[in-house]
Amino acid sequence: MKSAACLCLCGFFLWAAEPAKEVFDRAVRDLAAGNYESAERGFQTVLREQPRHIAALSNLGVIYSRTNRADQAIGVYRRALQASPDDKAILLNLGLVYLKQEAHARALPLFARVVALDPQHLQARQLVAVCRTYLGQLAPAIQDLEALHAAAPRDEGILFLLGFSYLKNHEAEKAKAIFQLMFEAAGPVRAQFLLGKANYEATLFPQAEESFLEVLRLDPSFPGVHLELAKVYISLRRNDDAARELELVLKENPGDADASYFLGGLLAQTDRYTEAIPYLERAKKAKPDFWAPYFYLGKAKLRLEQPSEAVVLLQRAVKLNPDEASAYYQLGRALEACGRDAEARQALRRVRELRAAALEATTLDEGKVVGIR
Amino acid sequence: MTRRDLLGALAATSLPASGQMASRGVKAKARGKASGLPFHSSLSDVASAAGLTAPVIYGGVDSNTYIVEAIGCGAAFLDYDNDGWLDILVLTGTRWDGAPPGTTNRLYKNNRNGTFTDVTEHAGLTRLGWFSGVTVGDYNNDGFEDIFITGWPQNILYRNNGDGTFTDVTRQAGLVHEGDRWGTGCTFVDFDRDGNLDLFISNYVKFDPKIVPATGQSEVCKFKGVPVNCGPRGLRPETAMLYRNNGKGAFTDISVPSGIAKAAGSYGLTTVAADFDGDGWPEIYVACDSTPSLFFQYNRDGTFTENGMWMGVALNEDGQEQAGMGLGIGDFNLDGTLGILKTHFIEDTPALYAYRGKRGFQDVTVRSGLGVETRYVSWGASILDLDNDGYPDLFWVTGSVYPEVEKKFPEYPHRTPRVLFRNLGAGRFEELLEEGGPGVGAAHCSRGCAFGDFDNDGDLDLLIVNLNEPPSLLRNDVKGDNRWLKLMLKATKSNRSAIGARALVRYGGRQQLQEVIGQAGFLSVNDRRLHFGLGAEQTADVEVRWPSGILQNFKGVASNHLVTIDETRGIVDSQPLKP
Repeated sequence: MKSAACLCLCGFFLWAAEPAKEVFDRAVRDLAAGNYESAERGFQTVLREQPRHIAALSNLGVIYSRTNRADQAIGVYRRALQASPDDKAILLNLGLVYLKQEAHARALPLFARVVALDPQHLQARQLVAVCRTYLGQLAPAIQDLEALHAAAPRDEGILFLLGFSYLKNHEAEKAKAIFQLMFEAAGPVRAQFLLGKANYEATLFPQAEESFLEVLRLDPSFPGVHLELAKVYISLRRNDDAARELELVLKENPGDADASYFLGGLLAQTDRYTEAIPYLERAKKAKPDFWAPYFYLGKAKLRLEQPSEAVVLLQRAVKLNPDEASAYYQLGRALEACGRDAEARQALRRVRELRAAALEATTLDEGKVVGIR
Repeated sequence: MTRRDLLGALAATSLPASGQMASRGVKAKARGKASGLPFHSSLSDVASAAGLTAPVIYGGVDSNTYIVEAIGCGAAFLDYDNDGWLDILVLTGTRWDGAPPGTTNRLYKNNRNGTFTDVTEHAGLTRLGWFSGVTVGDYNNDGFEDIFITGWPQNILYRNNGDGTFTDVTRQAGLVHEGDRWGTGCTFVDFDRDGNLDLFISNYVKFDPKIVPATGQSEVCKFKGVPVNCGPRGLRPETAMLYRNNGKGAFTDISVPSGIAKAAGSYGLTTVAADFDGDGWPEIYVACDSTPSLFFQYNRDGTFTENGMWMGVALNEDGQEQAGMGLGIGDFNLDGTLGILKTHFIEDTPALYAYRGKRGFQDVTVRSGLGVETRYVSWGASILDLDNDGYPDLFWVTGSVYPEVEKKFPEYPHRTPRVLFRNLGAGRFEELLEEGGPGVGAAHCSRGCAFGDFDNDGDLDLLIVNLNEPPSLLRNDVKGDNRWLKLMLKATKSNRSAIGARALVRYGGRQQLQEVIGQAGFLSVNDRRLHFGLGAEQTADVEVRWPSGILQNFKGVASNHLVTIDETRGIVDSQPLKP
């Protein structure tokens, strides 16, 4: 993502309009130096004068994306694309924002468009494969990845994705062969880590745990392994083990937003609302556009009988994630607890609409996917 | 993109939203220290000695092809011959490749000595098919209990002829529906209180074996990676149906004008009609699988409004759908209102809802202590006072829907034990793992469950449907000095089955409400006599409210008696029952 953002910067330096050039240049320098607040002010100044300034819009998108304000990033990228619909860098960056939100179906056409514009675009081809894998389009994903693998046989990222796709496709032998290649290319520790992640993504949690424990045995300070292990334990519902790993991450880096979120969410899910709140507040501050900390905070406040505060948080959660029925449900309950019955009924109606839409999307006779419980 | 970028992106994508940490796949809460209090009830399976030896044929033994094999069926305790002793009706299924000879729904007559005689053939009830649910009630007010049975592709109404035989009157009663439907939950309910029992039916999914992939034909239909039967997700849900009884032996389909058919998008199973809000008119609650459960409130003008979301019984406390299967109804917290116990899928807790007034129900599952049990797929549920201590306990039966899975994963067995939570008072429950007797720990693949006092000894026994095995009949042997009161409500103005009549019993500073209902457990029917454990109390005060609106009060009613109360004449009989 960082490389994609830099691509944007380089591409748009030259496009700055002359009257605002000095402001624009200073904003670019601020962005490069990580001074996001002043960079944001600078680009907004440029946009007040030239609302369709593509470079300013795009760089603002980079800032929003880096500061976890996804909805604002999407907004400015969309505006930039209206002016320049075939801009590969903007398409790519917008797709990456969606990818971070797990909105693979929205990301896929953007990456596919980049590939259509530039069939040799390696990054876009990989991202298309990522989206297809997560969307369950495993046959085309594997076909794409095999082609990429043939072109770059030792690329660890491609090996990882290919192995993961085979795992998801229940082709254990092929996955094993690919991971063997990954071991040779990446070295044992990194390869174990990647294997653990692939197993996690394929919901093979015991195998993922085994890999991450092996990473810890080989290199106790390997970056990110405690967080990954915590995620595995959450999936295995081993909450105490998960909490222990997350506390280790936070001991090392108290500002780790992911660890704060996971620990806060975990505590909230086990009814330890008061303990959860500080972690969730930290996560909210670090990722102001991520809906889930607002959701858990709202739920915590509601359970702690502070419904007015819960309403504000849950309203933010549903604004950030308007498709999340459980957030609307908690909002309905919080509004009801405040005596705002009409609004509560409206929120609960939305829950039913979302549930019905989700059900409709999977009905068999519509040619969709049949499933179990 | 560098490898680091790639991993960053993947890590971001795997951040769980609430779904991954919420009720589906919940971890059981840690068990607290056992109370150590003795439990005076012991349940033993006496089915074989009682003559209930015919297996309930239902789908494949080791694998299922379609979901219709997995859901199973209910059973009923009923007194079809009015002799004062509970008889038994056990439904059946079949098999795609042909059921064994003799497979049928079965009616067992109580011999009044702890045994039963299979009278199916004589009664005219021999029938083979995919049957699901049952409700029992005197729809024609002739003094004999009739039987309505749901199933795929049609339902059946049997009129009790009063001479030990029944007649299939489905067509003449106007209850044959167009096309194939999979009826599941059903309950007789006098929704408009005109003295005639109407009929509510929930339907599960639109099932057509020509459309639904068989096991192994779909890559998506897997549990823990093992191919299993498809559904309910992906199958189109059916709406519920309401038939008004015209009082002349026939029914009229009013599903659309009543608003019942408007509630779409749920896979309906067990159905209960009861006056939860105490306004004198019945509400109808439908446990729904993998979709929001439904709560219909009567508008007193021939129409209903579905209000489950607002009433807090559509979803769990986190706003997530659960796999609603069975329903137990009772006053578990002794507050004079009816609460709900709803059972769910494996790796999820049941739901226990307490009524809290105008704002509906409160999910008290975790604070009640029920969060410790998430191990089993759970079905027939009951709120019943097993040890007669005056505090209703919770009981439910369990069993997997995927017989194929245990071969690969022994930790997901097909046959699993029953679950018993004893009531500790003050809204708290404690799971009894062994103290409930051998009938609790026995592992079966169970579905329907009904309670009743089949041996008239003053305690509640349990009838359980086990798939591809004979049913279980758990005889309850209560030790100690706890006392009880059993009420038989005989309606003369209201519907003759007294469905919808309720009794509030006060004893020793406590109060408990019960209501005569047409279905509960899992697609099953309980003894319609209301049984109250009284603890040490010698007498109780009884307040009865009939669907007609008549109110009666009786002071100092003697315990350890079966008391018959007539709607207009009051107490007309009081019989001591001997343990």
